[in-house]
Amino acid sequence: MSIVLASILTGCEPAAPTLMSEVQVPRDAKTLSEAMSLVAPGGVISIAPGNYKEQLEVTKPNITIRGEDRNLTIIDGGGTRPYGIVVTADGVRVENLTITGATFYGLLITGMHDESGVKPPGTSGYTNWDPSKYPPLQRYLVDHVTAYNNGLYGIYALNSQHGVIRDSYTSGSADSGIYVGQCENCDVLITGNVAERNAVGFENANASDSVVIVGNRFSSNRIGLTLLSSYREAFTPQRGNKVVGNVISNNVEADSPSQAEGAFGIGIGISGGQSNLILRNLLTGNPKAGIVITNTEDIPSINNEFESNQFDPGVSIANLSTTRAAAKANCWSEASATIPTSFASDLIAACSGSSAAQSYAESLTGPAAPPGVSFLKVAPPKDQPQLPRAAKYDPLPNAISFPDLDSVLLPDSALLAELSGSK
Amino acid sequence: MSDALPPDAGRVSRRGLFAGFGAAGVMGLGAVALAQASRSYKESNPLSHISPFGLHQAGVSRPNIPQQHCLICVVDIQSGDPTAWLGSLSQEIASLTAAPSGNSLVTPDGVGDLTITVGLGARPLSHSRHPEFANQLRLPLFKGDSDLDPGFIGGDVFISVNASDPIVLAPTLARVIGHLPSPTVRWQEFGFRGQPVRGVVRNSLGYFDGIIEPRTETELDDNVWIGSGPLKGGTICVIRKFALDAVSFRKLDQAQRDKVFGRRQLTGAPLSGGNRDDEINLDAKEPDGTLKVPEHSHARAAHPSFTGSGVMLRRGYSFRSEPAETGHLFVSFQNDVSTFVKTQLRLDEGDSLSEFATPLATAAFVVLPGFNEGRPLGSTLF
Ligand code: HEM
Repeated sequence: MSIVLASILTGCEPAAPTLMSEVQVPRDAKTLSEAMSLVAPGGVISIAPGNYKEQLEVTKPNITIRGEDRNLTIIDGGGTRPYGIVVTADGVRVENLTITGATFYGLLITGMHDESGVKPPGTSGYTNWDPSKYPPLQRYLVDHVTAYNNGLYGIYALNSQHGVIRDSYTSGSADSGIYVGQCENCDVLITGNVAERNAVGFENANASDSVVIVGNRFSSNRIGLTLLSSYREAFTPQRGNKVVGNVISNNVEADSPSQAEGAFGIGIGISGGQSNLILRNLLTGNPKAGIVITNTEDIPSINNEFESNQFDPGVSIANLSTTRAAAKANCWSEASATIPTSFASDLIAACSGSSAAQSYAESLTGPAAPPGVSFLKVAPPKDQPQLPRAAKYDPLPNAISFPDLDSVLLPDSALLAELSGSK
Repeated sequence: MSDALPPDAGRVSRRGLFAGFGAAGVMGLGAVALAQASRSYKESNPLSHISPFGLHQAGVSRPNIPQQHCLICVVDIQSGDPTAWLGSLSQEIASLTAAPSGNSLVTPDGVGDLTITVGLGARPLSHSRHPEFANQLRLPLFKGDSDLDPGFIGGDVFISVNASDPIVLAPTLARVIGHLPSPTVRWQEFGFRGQPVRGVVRNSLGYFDGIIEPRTETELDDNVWIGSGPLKGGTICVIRKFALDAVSFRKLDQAQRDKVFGRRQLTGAPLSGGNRDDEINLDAKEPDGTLKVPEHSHARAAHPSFTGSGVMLRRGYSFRSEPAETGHLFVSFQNDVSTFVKTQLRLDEGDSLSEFATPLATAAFVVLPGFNEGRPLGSTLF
């Protein structure tokens, strides 16, 4: 700033900095934002261990932001700064670092921005957001990132396509650990992650079509995973996700912030979600219900398919949809122990083509939600495994390759359990 | 917590589960300009004359702050010849509200800000050249409506007479009704409003009411006025008469009362912070995850962003017939009836204020496009 000002005053141009293909912090640049201005598109910012009390906005394409030590390179919002890292450029990788103490979100990847800066997601006000004005961000990778004790979300990909969030860890989020929102043909893979001690482990609002959520551990939150339609963002209804082979159990964690609507003891919640596949997930230890389906206003939950998930005896799927947007054509061929009981035969009938309104209950019983814990006070995670530095950082692919879901089995409760817990 | 407030989280009600998860505002980035309802209160001189003529009838957006008193009346009629009675009614309205002194028998001291607004219900519309409009007015039965006597559901003609001077309302209404073919009054109510403070009055529970409203021309065009076709310049009015249990409401402590509305009684400010006229931040949370504007608070429950609907123009009044019947005459104008319907359905599924409100009457009407000397009310329909 002061350099620019001085040059205006003296009338000479500041020397254009030579952009570097790799910037090391703090060796080449004292701050993260200085590193950002020095790095060349396609380059690497490598951050030494340290506590960085800064917000970083990644504005150049195809950059890699890498921590030298996943547990010791810490971007710290200090409970006052709204975000840790915001990515607004295409093709960015963020890996092997920790983000904590942001009042809103740790890592945000968003296509919602223009010359004036980052836009708030969705329709916060009284006018509808025009999605055509904000083309979705393209290509991202979040790998081995730890995001804990952030005010709303740990890792949040909004209005973005062709991304992977993998082998990352989130806890202590007052909303959700990982959140993918507001995209069509998202082409997103969520795999190998742990989300625990959050209000919600993984949340999806209006992210549709190719969203594959496989082999994650979303246990010990207040609610493990949600698939939601929301009029507050573009692209209703939510549809077409595949949730396969995850451990979504014991979502009765008291050491977590409150879920906004008081949810507790639920594995998966589907609100106005459509045509999702929920296959071979371990859904035990969720005492209110393994899965709850309901409507979002006039958007019903329809055409969802549930197969080969494992529940505790007595608490499988509950339907709380209202009559104005009745659940229909949701199928589970071996349904039993549903709430209400008669919902089981409706689920079975839907697998052979019935599209009648399915039986619903008014409410659920189960343990009361304990008081919420401040997001800054939730126990921090254990040290998490390092991601070795790649020999070379090639541009991220234009299309995500998904694992063969047929070969993904019902997981054991030990899946990723070694990463779970606190210090 | 009182019994009247939402149930504890041990029992999760349907709506209490996870409807309405939104994304968070990125206010901290400092680069965000949210669209706001206009906050410009051009306080009109309450006694300045309101012309009955124009593209829109008077009494919907003119005067911009509703007059302090009204008589609202729902009437059934015999078929008659609509062109004839709407014609003579138009002349009557023009003469009653003519500047400067109206009808000297009714307003001997001057017409003041008297307005008369007329709407038609489903039955008369179904006999018009555009019977299709009748369908828009068939409201579903909302919570509590099935207990209503059919005489308080719907009606043929809606008349609202509004003025600062309460004395002129009854004689005005009597003259208006005199032009309807064989009228039978279904119900009528006298409504009153408090003194506006920077453009907004308090309702009978003591809260600022009418903060979030479409105000600018564009906001009115987008949300209130029907933009094309035979009803161009008209709007759809929904009227719901509610008894309010003010006694129980007052028994709540201040913080609990504020949570019912999602706003502070003293200042009208949203519980998410800021001043009265600042937009509510529905995503704001306490560090422990609790929503600052509670899940079932009226301001959250009624917020259009959850239903993806437009902003209704609310011009409600308080009423008090006897101590046991005190309440709120809810009057809203919108160009799409679904704005009201979706909101009321959402309120029915989880609005703390509804716990104190019992519907006493419900109806929807087309407020006819405005008229002038050569073009009487209803001329595009009959
Ligand atoms: C029972 C009687 C009612 C009373 C006493 C009442 C009172 C209030 C108050 C005090 C506010 C907050 C201040 C403001 O923005 O004006 C408000 C907001 C609102 N109310 Fe009501 N209300 C009632 C019924 C209804 C009904 C039946 C509806 C529609 C179905 C409704 C729709 C709204 C809307 C749309 C808002 C603005 C929400 C926002 O965008 O912030 N209200 N009401």
